[in-house]
Amino acid sequence: MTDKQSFVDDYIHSTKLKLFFILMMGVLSVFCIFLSLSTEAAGLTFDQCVRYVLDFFQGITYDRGTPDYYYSKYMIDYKAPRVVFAVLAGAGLAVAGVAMQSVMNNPLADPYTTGLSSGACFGVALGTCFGFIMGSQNAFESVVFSFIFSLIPTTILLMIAPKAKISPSTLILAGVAISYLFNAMTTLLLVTTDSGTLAQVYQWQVGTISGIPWSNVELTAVIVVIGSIIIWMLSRSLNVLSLGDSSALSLGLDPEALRVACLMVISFLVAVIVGSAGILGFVGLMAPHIVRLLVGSDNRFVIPMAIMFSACFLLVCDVASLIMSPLGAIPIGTVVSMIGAPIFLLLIIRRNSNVW
Amino acid sequence: MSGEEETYLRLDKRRRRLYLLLIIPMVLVAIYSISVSLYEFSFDEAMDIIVRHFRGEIKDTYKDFLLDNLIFEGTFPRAVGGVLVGAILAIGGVMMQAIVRNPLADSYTTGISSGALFGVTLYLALDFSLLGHMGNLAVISNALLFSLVPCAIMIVFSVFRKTTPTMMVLVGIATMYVFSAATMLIKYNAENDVIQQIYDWSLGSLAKVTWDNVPYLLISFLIIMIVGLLIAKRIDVLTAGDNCATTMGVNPSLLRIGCLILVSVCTAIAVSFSGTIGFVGLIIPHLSRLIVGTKTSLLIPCSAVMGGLLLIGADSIARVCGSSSLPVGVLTAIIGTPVFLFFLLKTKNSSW
Repeated sequence: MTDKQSFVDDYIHSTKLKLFFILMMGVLSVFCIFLSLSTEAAGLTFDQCVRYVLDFFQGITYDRGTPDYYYSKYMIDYKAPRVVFAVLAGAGLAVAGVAMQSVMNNPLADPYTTGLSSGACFGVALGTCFGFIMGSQNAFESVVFSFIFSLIPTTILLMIAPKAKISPSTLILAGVAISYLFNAMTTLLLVTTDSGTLAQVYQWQVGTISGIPWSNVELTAVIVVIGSIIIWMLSRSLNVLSLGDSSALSLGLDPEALRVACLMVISFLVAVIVGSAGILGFVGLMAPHIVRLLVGSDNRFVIPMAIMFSACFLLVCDVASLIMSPLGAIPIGTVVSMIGAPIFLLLIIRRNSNVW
Repeated sequence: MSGEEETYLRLDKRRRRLYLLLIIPMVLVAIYSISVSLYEFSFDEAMDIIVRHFRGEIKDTYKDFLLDNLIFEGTFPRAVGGVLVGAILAIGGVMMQAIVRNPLADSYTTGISSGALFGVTLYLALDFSLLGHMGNLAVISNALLFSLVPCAIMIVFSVFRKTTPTMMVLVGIATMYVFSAATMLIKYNAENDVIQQIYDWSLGSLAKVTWDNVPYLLISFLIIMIVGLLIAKRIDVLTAGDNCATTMGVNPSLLRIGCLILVSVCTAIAVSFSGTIGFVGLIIPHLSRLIVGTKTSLLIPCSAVMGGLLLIGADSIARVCGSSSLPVGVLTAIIGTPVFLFFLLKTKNSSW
């Protein structure tokens, strides 16, 4: 009896601890948002930046022509969408990563390593080369194209994953091969177009979030919020699925249906993020792993925590890229993969441990 | 018993003859590739120019002069270089696949090429080199140095951990990601023309092969070919398993490390002049195995010939693709990835 009591106490205690971690992460995220807002912000100080943003929310407007007016406009129309997009992209990729790792039962899976991002990227390149997408104005068209083409790797993954019970590393290798294929085809497209289109696609491909318009951010926000809620509502089922397909079946869960549903949502998330900002690799891979060290492997906690963690991560990467080169010469995608790639290597090497 | 042996030997001889036959198409394609260019001139014209060049006849018209230049500074060294690079990559693939006992290994998938490419990038963008400004040698030394990094990671990894070959390739790919992220970072500090150069290099292209490079490629080819043939029997023993090899007097780890370093060195030289051309080293050994079987001493020369044939053939096609020519690496990737996927999914996870 006492044993049972102490077990329950333990559970409550650990849940409280997890909630505390999540709360702390939330505070950290807010701090990161303001840090990112005030970095390299046309000489404005931290206080000023915070004030302009808060004023905007309180509905205080400045007279046209005053310095305050221009500063406020700069903050709201240039810095804010960038920061908001970083948060959304982080959230979307983290959710995609958690869901991917659960449904594939594979600690190394994320939209980048399984080739989804490359497929989406190819879609946008195709759309741009054939003139359906003109720069960043056509947010909706980019998403449509990247969604359609991210479905190709998804389908291939679905076809090969259950077959012959392939090992996690084999699945990732297949994903890597698919992404090679798409990269090669993207290059093929780029080589055959004019240099203007090439520069446009190339700049976008490496993953940059500077100068993103609000229209893209709004579309991203809608899809990321809806997608995250769906995945979070499925998190109990995902927990069950990580026990294996047969256990899931005996607990009354259809693993195939869940897998297809999750991969659809993931494709949408990836499509909208890749369509606006290019490839941000490895974010979805490492956020869940680092978060699991803190809150364990229960997806109900992992998902919100991973969202906040990778939002923070992208914001910090953005700050780092701005500090290294204020004019935006180093895109955020480079910084992200600079940090993410070694972590990927580390994960492979120490995969024998049972944390995941 | 002697009858069986005789049959075996006869089969062996027939196989030997079969791959020797492949030299003919390789040479023909290589010669034909000399006349393939974005500038239009016919095969006859090209041959005519070559014959007259060797006779030392004076180039009387401006057109002849231009053609002569185009052929002897452009397509001719490119054909020679292409054959050599293809051969080096293919032999490297044979050795890699044998020593890590993995059908997916080649110098590209194990990260050696990307390490070498990073070294080349460092030299081009930041002028960093061990040997200072010594032209080709500086590039090679850089490529060598950094190709040994993934090599070292693999050795350390395989010594300290029991790994499946798939994981080994995964480690190679992760190393590749690390290097390509670093290359990307460097690219942003470089000037525009250097960026273009690095971009071409990272896709793999034979466009920059000149006569200056050919001797290095030739030496590297001879080294890997001769050493490969000398240790072919030991490699055969190694494929039977480490325990087996030890019993038969071959030190498996020593042989493995030696082969890895040999492949790294030769690949690094090839990469210094052609960039990372992927999947040649992966496909060719498998195709060769269909022709000559699994004996390494036959596999090495056969792969060399087939590698040369494939690369120069692909390059001839790539050269006339698009408005400007296409890097050959793109073409080999499009051909190679389905093959890679096929072998990946065909191998049972129990065996690898």
